[in-house]
Amino acid sequence: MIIGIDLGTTNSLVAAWDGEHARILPNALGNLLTPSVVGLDDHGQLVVGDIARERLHTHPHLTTSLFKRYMGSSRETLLGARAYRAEELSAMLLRSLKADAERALGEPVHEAVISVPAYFSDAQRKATRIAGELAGLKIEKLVNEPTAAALAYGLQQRNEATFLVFDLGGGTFDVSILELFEGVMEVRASAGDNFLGGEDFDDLLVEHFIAKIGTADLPDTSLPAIAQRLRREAQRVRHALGPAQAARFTLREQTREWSIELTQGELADIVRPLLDRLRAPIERAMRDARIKVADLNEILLVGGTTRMPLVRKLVASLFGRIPAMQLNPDEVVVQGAAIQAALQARHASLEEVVLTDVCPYTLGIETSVQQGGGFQSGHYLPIIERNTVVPVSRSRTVSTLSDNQSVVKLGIYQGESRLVNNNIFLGELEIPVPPRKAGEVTLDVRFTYDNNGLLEAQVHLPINGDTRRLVIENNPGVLPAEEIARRLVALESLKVHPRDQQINTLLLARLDRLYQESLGDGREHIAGLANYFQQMLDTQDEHRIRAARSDITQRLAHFEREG
Amino acid sequence: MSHWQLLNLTPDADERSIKRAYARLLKNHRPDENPDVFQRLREAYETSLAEARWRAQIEEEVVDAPLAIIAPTAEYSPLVSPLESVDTLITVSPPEPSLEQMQQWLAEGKGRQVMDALRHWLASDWLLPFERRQQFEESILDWLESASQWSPSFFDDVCQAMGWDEAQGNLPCEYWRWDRLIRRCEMQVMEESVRRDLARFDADNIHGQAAALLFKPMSDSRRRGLADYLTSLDWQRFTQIAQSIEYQYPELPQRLGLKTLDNWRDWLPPESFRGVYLFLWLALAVIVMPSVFAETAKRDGLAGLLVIPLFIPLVIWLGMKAYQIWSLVAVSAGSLDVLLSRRILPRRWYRQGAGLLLLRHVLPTAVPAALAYAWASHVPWIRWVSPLVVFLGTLYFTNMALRGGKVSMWTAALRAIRHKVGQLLLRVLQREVFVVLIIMLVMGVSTYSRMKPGF
Repeated sequence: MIIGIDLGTTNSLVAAWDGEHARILPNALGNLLTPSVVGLDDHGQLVVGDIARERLHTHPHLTTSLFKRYMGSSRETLLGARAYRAEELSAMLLRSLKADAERALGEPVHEAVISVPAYFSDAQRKATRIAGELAGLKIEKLVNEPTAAALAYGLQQRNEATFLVFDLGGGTFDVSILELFEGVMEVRASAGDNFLGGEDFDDLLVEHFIAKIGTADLPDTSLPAIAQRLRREAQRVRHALGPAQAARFTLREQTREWSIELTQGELADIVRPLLDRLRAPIERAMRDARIKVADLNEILLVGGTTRMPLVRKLVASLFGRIPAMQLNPDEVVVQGAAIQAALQARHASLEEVVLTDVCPYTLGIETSVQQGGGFQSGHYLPIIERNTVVPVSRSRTVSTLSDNQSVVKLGIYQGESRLVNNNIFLGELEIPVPPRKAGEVTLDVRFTYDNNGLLEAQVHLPINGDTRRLVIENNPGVLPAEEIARRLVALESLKVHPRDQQINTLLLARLDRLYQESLGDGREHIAGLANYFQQMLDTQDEHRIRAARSDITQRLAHFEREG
Repeated sequence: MSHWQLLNLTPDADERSIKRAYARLLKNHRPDENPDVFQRLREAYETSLAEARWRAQIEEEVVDAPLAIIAPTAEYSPLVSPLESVDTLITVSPPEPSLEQMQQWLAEGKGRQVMDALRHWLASDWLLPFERRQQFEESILDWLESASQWSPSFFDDVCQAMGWDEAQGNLPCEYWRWDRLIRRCEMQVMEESVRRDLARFDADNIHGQAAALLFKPMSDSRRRGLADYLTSLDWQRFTQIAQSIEYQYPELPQRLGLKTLDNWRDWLPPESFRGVYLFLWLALAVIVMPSVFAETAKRDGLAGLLVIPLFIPLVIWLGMKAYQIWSLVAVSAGSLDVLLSRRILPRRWYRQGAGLLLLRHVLPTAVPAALAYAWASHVPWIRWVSPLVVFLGTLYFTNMALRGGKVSMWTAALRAIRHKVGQLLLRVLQREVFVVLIIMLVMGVSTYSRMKPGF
């Protein structure tokens, strides 16, 4: 069985094809969405999902979130005594999702399809693969999130259609234009912004709150505990401002309380800079696909952040029509990933659907061009143009620059600028060449971009038949193989918080958080509930624990509503 | 196998049947299983589709040719009907000032007003829908292309306001159109810098000499004087301006209202006098050879052997040193030199002061000629021919060297031969050392064979 995983910035999901539908598999707590938060509990055991999310506030040094943003970079996050890379944190989450899937399916799972933002770079994709490997999963394929959404959508609708997927998630923004015809799902163009999502909206709200109250009055907002609390409150306010016209943004710390009122209109003004950034990628994708707005049959909204009325309104204005919302924007990507997994396994129940995807950015090498008398280096020679259908293999021929040159260094870059220093450096390939006059030695540079979005560069020298391949090892964003093996061992030795206790632990963590967040009477009330629940847990009587749990859960729901 | 055959289609297939054929074949050649075959299929598909669309477009144009002229972009077509259901979103009218007003401002060169209006438009909700925005961008592009004057900094401002950014790949149009605008900007930057150089030259006669040499009308003697004191940096700038005018911006001189020096390559300082050295050495060697042989037949052979490879180069080296001193004198007497040369020398040597000069080049040539006369003294018929040959030959090769970057017929012919014959032999010939070695060998053998009977 191959499962489909949506590894999101804020939430992650896992699903499997059951022969008819893509079924989303619940986690240990019975929820479909698992928050992308991991941490260590007081015994040094791994906690993932809702429990970790509750503990973000109470134990900020032992818990972390938003690590998807650091995929493909060498940044490390400290959890307790050890620093972890984003790959490892993702692997912890993947392990938990894998365990959930195994439990729901009743069989061991070894293979998965993981969805990644279409605009993820080479290093970010490699990091995602490594995360899968560290979690003990063989990654059959990486599918682009908008493409996955389109797959889920396209299976329902058999007509020929051209549609645009607008995917605004917690941390990334992707646009893809797809065409469906004769059982072919063809991605025409993809564009996006890897650092634009719901979390950025929250950041702006927090900034607004701090600016409104003034830093002099507030406790130090850079403290992890306070920062987490502000962030969570921002998210709550943002969600509340959908149905409601106004909401209060409140921070409580010990005996003090700060609060501001926010309306829909104010929210619109605050997030305006972010909304403006949504425009350019859409325009670019449409231009690359050579498509006019009138040619689009449907606009598909994907990603939790598209639930915001502001975003929907903007999309409606941009396209002059109401976007499609039949599908749950949180779930459609993982459904698509599960469908892709079934396609990968050639599941008999799926009608023949072939998917073709594109490479979302231009890939090329550094060259020098003649200018006036001399040569100027640093110019970009594109080899694979952006939005070329993959898999693709293209080659260009270049030649040596100076007499008796003994070695050619090829810088490999990704990006759209005609000067390489504005583009992203991917790696370098060195090849010795026989000494000849300038321009007499030619090199065929071939780039092969495969179906999973991984690039291989190859240089061939026709003069002596020499061939070199590039393995991008020196990229700081990608872990070397021995390092992966070492970290795999370290991760496996990490004990996981027992699964059957998760629901109780979650309740305790939630009580802990509420205790810290509330004041006066409310605080005492929570303390009483926590004590009571601890007593019940100590009895080890399953019936009494269950009764206490449902009682407390109800009271807490009431408590949180009342504030 | 043509792309049509690969798809099992005839070249008149329409878009729909191409897609169907592609989809059918794709199911047997999946991208992840057979990448190479898939890539060929994909290329065939794209080529066929492009051809079919192109054909369809032509047919369409034939049908409604009279309507092909599209109305000016100032008016907007109404948005499609689904908008009515979200009408609360766009209840705005087009912002002020009008597009016509903005266009007029642009034509009048009121950049600041245009920018203010542009920002005002961009901030309005009116431009939210993509279709309107696209039309708007199209109009702006049209204006930029048709307006006769705007500065690069204005263009930068427009790009920034509109969010056009090449580094991000956000271009408003096809690359060739964009490139034309960029080229125009670059030309204006160039124009500005040339203007600035010329103004500075007018002010102090010290800066901007390269531009002045290229553009300023002036007398031959003044130009010669200017060129004599240009530094290598100035020459670099001179070449850069001249080359970019020649290859990239031929309209630049006209915009400046000036004429470029038409024989600018002629003015470039010579790269080397290799030709002159080589000629002198060979010519003198040939002249000296008979007398050396005549001598060695009587006396010691070794001295004769050393004359050609050592003695003659030494003489030439000393001569060149002396010439350098002379040229200092000649350069300082530049105006007189130009004055005389224009009167006396043939026009194709003189070349408005860029070519041979009487005092600087012609007069010193008399020295090797005299040397040739002296050395050839004992062979009567060479005696009169050789000084003439040396004199004219030296002038010829000096002239060649002075032509600098200009490709002479000789060089062109040589290049063509080199191309044909193959490069190995010529590479050997190019290196003077090899030439010297070969000549020494030949001479050594011949001298030895001549000396032998004497022993």
